[in-house]
Amino acid sequence: MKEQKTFEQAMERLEAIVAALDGGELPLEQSLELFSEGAGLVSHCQSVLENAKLKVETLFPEERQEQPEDE
Amino acid sequence: MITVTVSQLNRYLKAVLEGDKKLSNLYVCGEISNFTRHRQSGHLYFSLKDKDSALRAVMFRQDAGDLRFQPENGMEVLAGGHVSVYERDGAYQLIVNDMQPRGAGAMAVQFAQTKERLEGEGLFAPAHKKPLPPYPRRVGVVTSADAAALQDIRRVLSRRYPLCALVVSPAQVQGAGSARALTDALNRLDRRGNCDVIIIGRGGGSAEDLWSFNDEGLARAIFACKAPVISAVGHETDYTICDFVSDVRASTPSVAAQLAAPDQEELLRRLSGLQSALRRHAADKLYTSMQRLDRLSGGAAPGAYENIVAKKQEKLDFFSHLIYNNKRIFIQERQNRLAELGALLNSVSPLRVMDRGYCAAFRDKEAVRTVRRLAQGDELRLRFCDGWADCTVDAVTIAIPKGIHRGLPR
Repeated sequence: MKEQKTFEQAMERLEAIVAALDGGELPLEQSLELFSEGAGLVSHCQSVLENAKLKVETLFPEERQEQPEDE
Repeated sequence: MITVTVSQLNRYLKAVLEGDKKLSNLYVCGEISNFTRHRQSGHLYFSLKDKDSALRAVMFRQDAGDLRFQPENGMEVLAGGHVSVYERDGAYQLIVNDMQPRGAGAMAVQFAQTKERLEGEGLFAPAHKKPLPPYPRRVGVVTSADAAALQDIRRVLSRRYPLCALVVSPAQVQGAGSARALTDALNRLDRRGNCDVIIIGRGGGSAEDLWSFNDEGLARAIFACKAPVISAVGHETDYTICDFVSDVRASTPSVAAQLAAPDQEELLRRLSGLQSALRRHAADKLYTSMQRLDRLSGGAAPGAYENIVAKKQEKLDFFSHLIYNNKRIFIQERQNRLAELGALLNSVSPLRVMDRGYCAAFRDKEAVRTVRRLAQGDELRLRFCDGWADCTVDAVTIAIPKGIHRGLPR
């Protein structure tokens, strides 16, 4: 679930970017770069949340093992 | 009429009773009385009685070792085993291999004993409680497949955090064998489910219904789980051993789901807030950079390129309004224009002017912009684009060329 793997990392990176901009005296080039990275992350996270649907799996006892659907 | 010895009769009776299928695997409910534990052998000897009659019973040491409670006189129990005859005394008895407390009093005693024992071993200690992951990818649930609890959890997760996957490990939650079923389901889930957090629970019920959640084996399995466990058994006021040993206790399955996963509404709000913070920073940054540009352009001879800078200033204002729209491409364009501006300013910079042959005069390290400040004999430093010359003023002449600049310099 690649989407999922990056959601937590995306949120953490976003918080880090805002903290860095808060902190301070970054040169203009770097600020603008961070800003566009942050804006991209915001869009990505918003769309991941808005498009998600809950997946449900069942784990049966050993005799009837649930196989993943990739065979 | 036949004649037999006592031993023969007793042996015969034993065979008769042990041969009867109905007597070979049954549960008897009654109250314990005359209870003793034989010190040397470890066997338990007692009677089971109800209001009309009594029955001898024995539980041998190896079965007694599995007991999860301390049998006492007066305790209501369910004793399982088979009927046989103790030949030596000519008495029939129930040979017990399994015993469970029954009735509120007995259950309360077992609960207290189990709780005390596990607490003494440190299974409930706060130091062992694991924190819940903030963004779980897989949420496991051990509960009955048909019951409302599972649907509640599914509904709450679907609303709050559909990003995760729900992994169900179904088990019977009450009745005979349910403690074992729950334990197996939990172990299976922890081993194969790859879950970031596990919820174990069920909806409300009577004390008997919830009883398997007081099972010591289940409690130990919860303690041994790799994933953090949220217990959600019954209602607000029901507390089971599982609630004490779990990492977090929830009053109901729905609450457990709320604790397990973040709320996407809140996440979306937080993302909006981060977006605003980003825009604000970008706008601030541009503004301060513009101010700095202002200062730089103001330091050169006034009038010569005021107009040009004023026009660029207007454009910068325009750009900063566009920044409030957070599209990435706009940022790129603005960056390009800033570069253009830099080039433009550079083309009218004092250094370029000096390239064309003009020089700047300084007296005592101060720029001299007007001849009116000069006197004969003043020592000047003339700065050229490639160096400077130190000179002395011979004579000063004031002349104002027509139409070149607007105001009189200071």
